[in-house]
Amino acid sequence: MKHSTLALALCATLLPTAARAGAPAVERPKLDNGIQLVLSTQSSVPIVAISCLVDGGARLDPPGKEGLAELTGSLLSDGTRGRTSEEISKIVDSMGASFSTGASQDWVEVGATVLARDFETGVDLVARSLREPTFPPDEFARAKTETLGSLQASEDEPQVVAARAFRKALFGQAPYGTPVDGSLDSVKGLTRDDVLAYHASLAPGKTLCAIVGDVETARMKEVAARLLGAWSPQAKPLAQRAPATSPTARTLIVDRPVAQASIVIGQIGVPRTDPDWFSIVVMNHVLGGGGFTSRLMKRIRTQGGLAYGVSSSFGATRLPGPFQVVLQTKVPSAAEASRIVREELQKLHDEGATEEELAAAKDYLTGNFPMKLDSTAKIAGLLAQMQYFGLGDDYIERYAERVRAVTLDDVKRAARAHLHPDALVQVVVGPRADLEKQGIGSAADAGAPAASPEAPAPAASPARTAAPSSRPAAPAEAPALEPAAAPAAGHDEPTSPGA
Amino acid sequence: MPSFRTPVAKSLAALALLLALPAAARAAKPYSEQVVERTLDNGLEILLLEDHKAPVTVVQVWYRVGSRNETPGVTGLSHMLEHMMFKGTKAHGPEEYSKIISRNGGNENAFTSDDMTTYFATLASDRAAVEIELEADRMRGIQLTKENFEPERQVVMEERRMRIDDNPIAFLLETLNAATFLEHPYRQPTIGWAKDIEGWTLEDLQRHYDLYYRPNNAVVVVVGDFDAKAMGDLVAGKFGGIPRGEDPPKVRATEPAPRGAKRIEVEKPAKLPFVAIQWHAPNLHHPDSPALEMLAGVLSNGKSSRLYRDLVHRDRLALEADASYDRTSIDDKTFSMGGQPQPGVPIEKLEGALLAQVEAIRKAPPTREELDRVRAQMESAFTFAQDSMFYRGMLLGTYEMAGGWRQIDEYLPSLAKVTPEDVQRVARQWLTPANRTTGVLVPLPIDPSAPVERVPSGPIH
Repeated sequence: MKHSTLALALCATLLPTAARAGAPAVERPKLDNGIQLVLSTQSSVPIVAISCLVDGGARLDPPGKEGLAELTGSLLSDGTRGRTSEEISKIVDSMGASFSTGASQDWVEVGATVLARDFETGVDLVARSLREPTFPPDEFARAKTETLGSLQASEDEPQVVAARAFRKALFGQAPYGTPVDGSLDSVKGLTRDDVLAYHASLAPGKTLCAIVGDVETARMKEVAARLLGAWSPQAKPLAQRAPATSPTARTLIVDRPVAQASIVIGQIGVPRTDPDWFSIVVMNHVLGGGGFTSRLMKRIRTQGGLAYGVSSSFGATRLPGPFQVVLQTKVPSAAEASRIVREELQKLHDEGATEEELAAAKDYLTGNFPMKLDSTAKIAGLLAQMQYFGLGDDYIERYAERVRAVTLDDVKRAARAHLHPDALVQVVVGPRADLEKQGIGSAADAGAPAASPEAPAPAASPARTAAPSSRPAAPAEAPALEPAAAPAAGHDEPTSPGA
Repeated sequence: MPSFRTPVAKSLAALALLLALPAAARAAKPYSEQVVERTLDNGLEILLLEDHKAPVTVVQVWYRVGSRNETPGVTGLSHMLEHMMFKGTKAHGPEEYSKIISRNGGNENAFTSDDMTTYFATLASDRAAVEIELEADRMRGIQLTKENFEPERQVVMEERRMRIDDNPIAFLLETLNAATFLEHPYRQPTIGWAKDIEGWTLEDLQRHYDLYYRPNNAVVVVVGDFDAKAMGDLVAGKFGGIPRGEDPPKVRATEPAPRGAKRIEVEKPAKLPFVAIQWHAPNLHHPDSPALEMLAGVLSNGKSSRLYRDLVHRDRLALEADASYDRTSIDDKTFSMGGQPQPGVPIEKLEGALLAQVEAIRKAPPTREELDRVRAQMESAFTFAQDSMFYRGMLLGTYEMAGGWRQIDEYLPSLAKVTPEDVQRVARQWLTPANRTTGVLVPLPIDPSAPVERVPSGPIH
């Protein structure tokens, strides 16, 4: 492969800039009721991002009640003591703020982004939602109907259908086997009492609140202590669901009359806290996390013209999350594209990466780090993520060093340990007859290459997780913790996969 | 927004996003005091905006070419060219551009819309020169070869299947645009009609490239942590030697006056119907523009807006309902509304409810309180947008394409002058039946077969 002299010449100057990006000053006090605060003053723009995460999320949905955490979470903004949903909306819109509540697989989130002058009102909105939501019966009925409608509407999106079927195939009835919004069957059965029970499980001791923006930390502390500190419920925890075992290799077809097959191939991956995480990030960058420089993109898009996009990702989740390769290709190419994905997984598993690929991945990941800290919203998201996963207070300072420490052997070991080409689950959404004609779903297709003896798949790894990403092409380090209430215009910034 | 080289989706959501980019803040300095503007002898415009919040720089190159500049039979050429811009130049091999940017820690991408094609990269500031050099190189240097062209044509067909053909709502909106505009090329899909994609030749592409990829048809926008004088010199140094080209041909199409309400239906396998309504409406150069912007806000901005409050929340007719106004299009475009009904709600009922909302404003002006709330939202949105260097660049580029970045500073003051009666007046003036085109997605049944599971006989773990 031809090196660019331009690129090489400039790589030498990388360190100083990355260092200059620096880590934001952070304070991490704990409130008396157990809420962990993460506070940072950022004065570049007169705004404040407030984001509270309560651990649990859809992971704690009781069996048969999938979608409960999300329904409960969404209703937190639809009525608090003395305020109707409509009154809350007026308060939010009159400030021009954004305010949102909901759930991911791992947490319930209440967040607001406000102008700095509205800081206290923002914290107050968040605190009231956690402390004293009223769950009015008519709001409950409306939210439930709306969820059922959205679930039906999502049937018109082949990629969503594929993601849903893949999650189910991977995790089954165990936690994370269903998207956060649940399924038609489960949501139909939800009652207001279920919502009250879920809310009763939320506890300050399981909560972290990140506050980042143009306010002094002393004031952040004072306001948070006064408003969030007043939350002291008698929490009634929900039962943990039994984890699933790792599924066997198989292929599912979801029959749909579409022109393009939506394909997801993968397996259960790792938790965000896995000690191999940095090796996995580098490995995944080489495979399909590195945008146009990745192996999958080169073969399937650039050389084959088979797909508009293809990417691979490991979910950043508390418990082992999904590893998945996602692509869409015209129906007649489905088997070919699937075969290439399997070949590439096998190759990486058997041979690891090359010296040049390793160097390129490390250059990208270290050089890109300043872009993860270039706005108040991004800093808030990263700080919350560090706290939630316990990545260490020195995570930002040590990021580049940890990426640079990854060796070829590390990548090879990560590929052996975390890719299992003989145990892949595949979902294909498309016209069944056409897909079956290509052999998709037959033993020959899904059986995968012969098992590699040196890399036995874990017999029964705890199967739970959730990539909260609605984008099937989530990068390896999916921004698992985006601020709940990013401003309308600051949220959808296009990024390359692997950003 | 696009995650790969891609046309900006013509969805209501995407329109709303653009509209969420307002301007001029109460607290912040006006853009006219922050932006350094230069024009080179070859016609290249340069807009430089220092923003020192992080050691990062965003570079965007805007070409004044999109599906607006295309003709029937070869629609989609601008978007295809966007793809081919990553396929190598005389100096750099195919895909090398992306490799170099990645090696330097940057994120790169591009998008195409009706009005423009934009290339961009975000890098650590000490790497910005890499992107500027590569952009200058590919302004005139790309190599269009058969070998690279054919696979990329297939890629674009896949993109079309994904974005349009297998997306019932996008499919409806594509047809609706074609029905709304009789003559103006806004009737054409940015990605191109499927048959046109099959028929493009290398010569078509080369001609398009030679016509439009000239310094006198481009704007370089740079936002970030740099010194404007030094950055301007750098851009001038890299681009200055590229010769000026002929001025590209003007788009001469003028949309004829509407002749009466139009209605189309699109049949497609889908779970739920959808309705979208478009009225021809003037862009930001018309004095009614601020009132149209406020009208869209009253209808659709936030959960206190009329469409959410009444149709989604109170009456439970719609899963979503939206209004948006194409303020920053180069030529006059549309004011639109759309919505998806709750399951079981007849589409005619939602359509009627959307039109009733228009009728209500035609009959009685909105309240002062509503307008104040919308203005507060617009002002805050401007401040929030400052958090993103990329969006600051988008704001500059979008306005520059539409007729001048200095108009950014006029945005909030112009909204401040809008009265409730103005909003009522523009609703009466523009949202008339004769000016309206309605599109309805009529769902055909989907084969409701459940997933079929195949357990292979291979090794089991």
